[in-house]
Amino acid sequence: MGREALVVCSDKSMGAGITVWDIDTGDHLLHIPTCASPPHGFLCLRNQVLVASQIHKHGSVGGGAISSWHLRKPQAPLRSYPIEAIGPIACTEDGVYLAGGAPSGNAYIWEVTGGRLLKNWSVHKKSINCMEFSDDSSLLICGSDDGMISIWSMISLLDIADFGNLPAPLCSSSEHSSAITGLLTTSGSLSSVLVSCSLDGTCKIWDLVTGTLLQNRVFPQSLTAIAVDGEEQLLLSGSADGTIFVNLLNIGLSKVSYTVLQDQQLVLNGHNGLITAMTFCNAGLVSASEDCSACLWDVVNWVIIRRFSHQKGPITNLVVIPQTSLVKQYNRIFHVSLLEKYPHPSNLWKEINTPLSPSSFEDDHVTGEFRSTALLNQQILDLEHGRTEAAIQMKLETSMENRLWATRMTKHVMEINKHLQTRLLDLMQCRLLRPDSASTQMSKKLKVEYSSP
Amino acid sequence: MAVFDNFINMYDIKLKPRLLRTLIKEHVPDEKHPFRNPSELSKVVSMIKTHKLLGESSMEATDKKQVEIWTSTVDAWVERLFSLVSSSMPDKRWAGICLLGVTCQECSDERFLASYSVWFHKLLSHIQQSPGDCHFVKVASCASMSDLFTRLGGFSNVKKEGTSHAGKLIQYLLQLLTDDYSEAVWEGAVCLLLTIMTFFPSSIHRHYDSAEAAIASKIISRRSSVHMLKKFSHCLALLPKSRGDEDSWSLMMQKILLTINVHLNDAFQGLEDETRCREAVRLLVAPAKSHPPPLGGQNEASEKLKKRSEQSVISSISTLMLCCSTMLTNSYPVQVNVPVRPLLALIERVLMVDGSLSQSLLPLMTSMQQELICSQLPSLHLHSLELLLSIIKGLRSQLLPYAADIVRLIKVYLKGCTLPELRIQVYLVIKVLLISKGLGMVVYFAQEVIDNAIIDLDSLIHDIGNNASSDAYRKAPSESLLKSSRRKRKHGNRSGSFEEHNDSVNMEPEVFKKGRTSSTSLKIAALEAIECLLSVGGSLRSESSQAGNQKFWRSKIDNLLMIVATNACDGGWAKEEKSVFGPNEKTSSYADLQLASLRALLAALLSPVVRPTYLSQALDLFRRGRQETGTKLAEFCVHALLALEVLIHPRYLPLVDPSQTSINCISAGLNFKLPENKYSHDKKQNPFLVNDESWNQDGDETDYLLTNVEKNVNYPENPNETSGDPEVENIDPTVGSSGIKDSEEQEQQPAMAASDHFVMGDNKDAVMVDAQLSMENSPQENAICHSVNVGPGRTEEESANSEITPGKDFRVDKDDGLAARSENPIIFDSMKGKGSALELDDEGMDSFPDIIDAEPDSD
Repeated sequence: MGREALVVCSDKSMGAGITVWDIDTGDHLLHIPTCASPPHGFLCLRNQVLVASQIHKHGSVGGGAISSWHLRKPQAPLRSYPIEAIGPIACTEDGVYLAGGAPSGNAYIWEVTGGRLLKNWSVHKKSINCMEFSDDSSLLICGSDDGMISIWSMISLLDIADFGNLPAPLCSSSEHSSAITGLLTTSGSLSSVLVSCSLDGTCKIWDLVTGTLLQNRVFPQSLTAIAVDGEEQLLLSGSADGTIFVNLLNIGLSKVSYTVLQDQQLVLNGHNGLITAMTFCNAGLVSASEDCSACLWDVVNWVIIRRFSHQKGPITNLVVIPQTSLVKQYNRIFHVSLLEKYPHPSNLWKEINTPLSPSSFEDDHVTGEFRSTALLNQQILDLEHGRTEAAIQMKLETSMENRLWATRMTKHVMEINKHLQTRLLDLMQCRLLRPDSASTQMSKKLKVEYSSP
Repeated sequence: MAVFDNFINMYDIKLKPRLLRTLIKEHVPDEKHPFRNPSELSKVVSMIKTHKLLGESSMEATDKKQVEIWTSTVDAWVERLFSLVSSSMPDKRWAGICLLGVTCQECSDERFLASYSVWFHKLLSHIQQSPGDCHFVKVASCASMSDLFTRLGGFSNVKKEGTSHAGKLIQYLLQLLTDDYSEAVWEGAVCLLLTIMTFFPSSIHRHYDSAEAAIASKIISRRSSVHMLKKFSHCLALLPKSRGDEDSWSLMMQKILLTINVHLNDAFQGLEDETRCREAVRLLVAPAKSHPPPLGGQNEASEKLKKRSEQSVISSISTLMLCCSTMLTNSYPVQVNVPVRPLLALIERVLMVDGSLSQSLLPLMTSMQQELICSQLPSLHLHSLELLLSIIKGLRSQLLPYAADIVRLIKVYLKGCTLPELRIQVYLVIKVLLISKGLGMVVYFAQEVIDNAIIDLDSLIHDIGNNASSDAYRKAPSESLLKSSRRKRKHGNRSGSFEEHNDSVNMEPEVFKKGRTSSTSLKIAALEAIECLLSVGGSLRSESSQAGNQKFWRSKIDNLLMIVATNACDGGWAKEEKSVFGPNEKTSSYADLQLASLRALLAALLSPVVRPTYLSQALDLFRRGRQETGTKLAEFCVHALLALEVLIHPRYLPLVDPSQTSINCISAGLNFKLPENKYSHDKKQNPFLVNDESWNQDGDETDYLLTNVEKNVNYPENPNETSGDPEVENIDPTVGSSGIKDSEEQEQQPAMAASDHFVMGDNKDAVMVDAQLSMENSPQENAICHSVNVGPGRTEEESANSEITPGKDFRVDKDDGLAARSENPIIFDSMKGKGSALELDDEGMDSFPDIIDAEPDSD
């Protein structure tokens, strides 16, 4: 597990910006200026790009903006201006889709790489407070200011065939009596549940697909933030007065409703203001509050390990990213485009710009296989059985070569033979003509002939 | 070398040069002697590879002299190869080239880097246009050259040299491809080209257009076999990588799609509406833009097309589709624009043609033409489904806007599709869709998958009457299964639900033998699709349906899977045979089917809506499967039993590992704090007891048993009884006794006596706790232990003061724990008693069937 960094932002003023701390040491790592985003309006795509919705508070025209910063070069933000100001935003696990909800109750879905606005539709009558994608990114959950929760299927939302039509939610409910302040889903396909918390002081656990209420937990305070730990054992609920309640998240229980009693849970008192966000990281739990501080909690003894104080204003959002995101050279840089203001139906039919099989491996790691051994064995078989044309051809050529060689050899032998014959004739002639010296000469000659070849 | 200069063992470094020398002397052909037996070479190669004879160095090579000997022997080897390569006899040349290829793989890095250039030129001379060389030698040279580049590609410091060497080679390769050689030579050349494209893509840059032309003409010309077409398509797909920019990829894709559509226009004349083919082309070429140059750059290609037979047209289309798939699934250095819309339109266009003539164009096609096209259509469909799969793989979640479109297409297609091979492919597509798009996709697809799977598994469901499984079926499955089939017997309509079919089977089994029996592999594919559905969307409970007919799919599927698994596995376990004959033919054996059915069953068990009624039958199946030693099935059954363990004995894991002193797990941390409520609250409020409630719902029984226990054990009403708890003793007996000493010394003696009594009196139960793997009661026991150990009443100040030593900590908390308990002794006792009570209750019985039978009722 690498080191992690805590990224926070405020909604006080654009001057507050984004602050990045080393979570383990508390060192200040980075400050990105000009950012003020409302609660749930801040996230990190693929650990590479920070995205924040901005609400211009005073005298701004045309609502707000959505800004994005590449963590590698945070000096140059990309600012998109949607039709209206966007409050909460959410992204899918792979960072391909970004959803945003507006105070008017409208929601928008963009494809991040191409910037295309794929869908905009009216979700709730009241302002959308928070949005969340399900664990497998196939469902989008919206919570509104009047306590409505609606669950939407991404496939039908993005279905280009009925682009203009008003989509219908998979299910919706209005069990909460006050504004939804937090939504989260658990992983796993068998028990996909949705946990919601609200200012009405309840935390409700729902079946994600059917929308049936599984549990209703009543707390003594208005709840403003929720989180679950990595093992999904604990449910943490942050409240309006700065206390954090720690409960076991027992999903499989058949109980529908109960009041959470004080002594059934752990109460963490560390903040003086409303808890705005919480998340788990390697080092423990991080909570952020309107009291201008963020705390890192030890999750065994439940004590504050470190307090980060944010002088620039109350913290509204926090994310935890690996520190390598700040320095790492990515093989492929995650591309973010300017988000479109209006949907262009014709654009929907455009090509999709995508990286093909973006593997974590470098391209150098290609492995080839050696071929000659297999080929050798096959060719031997071919040769032995004379199966293929090529094998027969080679056999033929070999035997032709052999014949040529044999012919050459024959010629050579014949030449030698001829030579010998003439010698013999010479010899015999000598003998017949000069028999006296023949014997000595012959022996000499023979010696010469034997030694010469 | 001395006769008795023996080696230490077969790993001795001295052995290697000696062996190599022997090989050179006796087995490698030379110039003087004729080369009679080519199979000698294969022995040589295997010897070299096994003993690493060309390695030239080894771990224990400290002896310099030995290494020198080895090096000189390898030198001799290489020299011999050179003489062979330049021999006039083709067979010796061939042998030399092959062995040079092996040397490229096997020799040491140093030698390779020093001499690859020389070797390259030796091999190059055989690839170059030389009329003397026969094809056999050319093929071998290509393979050896490919090995040389593969090895070279592994060195990152010679990229430049490699590229320049490869650049010299390309034109000769393209020459080989364009010339009229045999297919073997083409294959060799294409493989070499692929290797170069993989490792040194930029070397092709200069020859890009001619390479495209050469390969495209091979694909479009009619003369290649299917095997070769695949290689060509792969080569064409990789070609844009040599340029590595966005436009090359897009242009290539556009060209290919246009070519496919032009071919389709020809092939589908009279089978589809004219509008569709115009639409396909319109999507590809933006109105303002001009058509791109045809694939391969030659216009005559499309002219030739007209004269060719339908068959070769279709094989070219399939090849080009394969090329698209490869382009989509292979990695590419930059982001590219994928023309999803035209791709999907193409797939839809092909899948919607089923060989029936379109109404308006009847007279255009003769029956012979129709026969021809119909014979080829399945392969075309298969390739478009493959292309669809590649699109899903390539675009990942970015495909989401088109997902609904694809689902609609598949739904329509599945209705008409009856060929098993195609259905298998569709199931594969469904599987990938389900996994990649998750729960949202299940909502869309569940009903379709189930309906179709039931049709395909039909014969398995009715696999009754053939063998003993008939009886077994009636007996084995649980009551509910039988009940359901009996209930349905009254109305004997057969409209689709398997239960209804089931019924009719009982009455008229022979009817179904005539019915469609799907192939084993199709059944496996259907089972896999269901398995996937359950694993992705198991949480989709039965009440989740919007429409009425969707209502009970879950319970229906559960029953179905149990029946299928029972029927598939009841005739005994099939042998996992690996056929020696026909290794190319992909067939699925009955053993695979059994495995698939068990896998699907496990998925159903692991994603329960309610506690499965047939768990015991399923467990029985898995246990029996486990006996099949050495098979995949046994391996899976062991895995299944492990996975089901949690379901059989639901329980909390021990909160703290007693063997570990330092606890840093998050939940353990919380649990140090939370148990406090156990003692002070009604157990309904206690999260730790909820699990228990399902087992023992009525408090009366508890009370009764409690008194029972008290009678039997004579439990003393004092707080020290915990020390008698066997689990506490287990955890740390010494600390426990010290705690007692500290807290209440005067009661020590009686307490110890009591605990002794407890242990002895309840000995059997205590043993049983262990034997039952501390079933459902252990959480409380554990919770008690931990609360005692570390303490429920730990206050904020205490937790802040984390410097307390464990021993001290314990003592403090022990007191707290005792105090807390003495406040509420009754609750503690009831829990304690219940723990024991359960044990008593289960005594003498097998605990496991009890659970299964009890559970459905208590729900």
